Amino acid sequence: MKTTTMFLNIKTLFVALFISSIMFAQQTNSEEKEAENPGHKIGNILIGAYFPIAFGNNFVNNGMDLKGGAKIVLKVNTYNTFFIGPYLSFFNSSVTDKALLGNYENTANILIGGTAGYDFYINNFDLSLGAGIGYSVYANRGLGDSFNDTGTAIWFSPEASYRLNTYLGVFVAPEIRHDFMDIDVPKELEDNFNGVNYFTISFGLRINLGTGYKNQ
Amino acid sequence: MKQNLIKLLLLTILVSLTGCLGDDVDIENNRRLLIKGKITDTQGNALPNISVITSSFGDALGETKTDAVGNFRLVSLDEQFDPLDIFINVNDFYNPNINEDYGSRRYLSPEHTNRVLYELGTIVLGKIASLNISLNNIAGDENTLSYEVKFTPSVCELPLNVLNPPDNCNLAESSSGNLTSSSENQIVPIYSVQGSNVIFEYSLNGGSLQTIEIPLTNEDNNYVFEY
Repeated sequence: MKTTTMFLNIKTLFVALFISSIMFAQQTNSEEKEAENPGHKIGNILIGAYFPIAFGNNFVNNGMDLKGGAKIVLKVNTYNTFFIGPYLSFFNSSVTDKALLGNYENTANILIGGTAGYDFYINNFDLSLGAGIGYSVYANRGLGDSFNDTGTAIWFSPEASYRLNTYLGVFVAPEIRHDFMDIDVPKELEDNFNGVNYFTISFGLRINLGTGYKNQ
Repeated sequence: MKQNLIKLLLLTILVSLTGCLGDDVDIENNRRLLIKGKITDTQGNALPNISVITSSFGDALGETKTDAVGNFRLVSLDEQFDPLDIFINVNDFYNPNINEDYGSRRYLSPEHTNRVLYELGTIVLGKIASLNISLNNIAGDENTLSYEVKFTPSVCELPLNVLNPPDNCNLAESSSGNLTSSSENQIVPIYSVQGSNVIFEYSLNGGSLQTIEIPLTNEDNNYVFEY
């Protein structure tokens, strides 16, 4: 009777070991599969507030009071995590020195362009370096009429974002931007009207596209 | 129902007319003008706080005032089609001078140009002076009088954007008349600037032309001529 019981215990042990080994084997396979297939990182969408600060000797810094705005960027990964995509930002401002700018009240700047750069992934943080070029329109209003000042904008922007889950994160992005303006002015005013420098800060939501942005 | 339709029709017409009467300024895209100069009085002293306005058919495109040493530097918008006018010490054509102690200038363009720089140099604004010339008919003399008064106007209009424009309004305005032996006494009012001379040219009974120079030394001046 004792021998029979011992035999049964050993048998049970072997069965348990066998099941455990299968379980471990399956678990290892699952992890391997996950490592082999990390999901797709298609890109992301940034939607956030946009706060420009003008600096240097230019008509915006000398004669305007800048308000906030917003920006939206779509970044589509191409090769690895090199991204390209469309970029849109806008902000409002009011004219504070009409003798320097002309007799109008306010302006809304709209920048439409394209951006390109590279994304890095460190645990739950996504870092990115990007640059872009676009068409900058200052839609001015005054005297019951509207008129535009236009130019070409270039910018460089690092960005840091934190993943809240696979599809959603928050981002902050400082930006250095220069607008090359097309305004026809006498030589004496060229320094003031030929270009505008901005340091901008934007922050908001980052929507990740694809299943590859898993939390670590 | 019919009444409502008529009211609606009238309202539509009214709104349409309001649109027609509205401001139709067309500001040029991507353009700024620079207008600069200095304003002094007749003694060469700088005049601070004098208004400088660029305008196109009554729409102020830019506005500033002279600084403590009389200089002004104004960045202005430009109209797409209409000519540019520059007003010194006055808002537009119809208002009195902003600083009522001094004269004013209106630079008027005949047509629109693409000029972006206006260097107006030194603009001299004299203090306002008035002169009343009394033309008194002496009874029994039976004379006739032809006269012309030439003077520098307190509101000086100069052409802009023309070749070789004059730079002042000295003796640019005149007033003339013919009086007979039966004419009543008359007063000819002149609005000019202090420090200038008024030229009174006259001819009695069709005779030779005589000239009298009347200096405007005070704010209010009087001159009596008897014939």
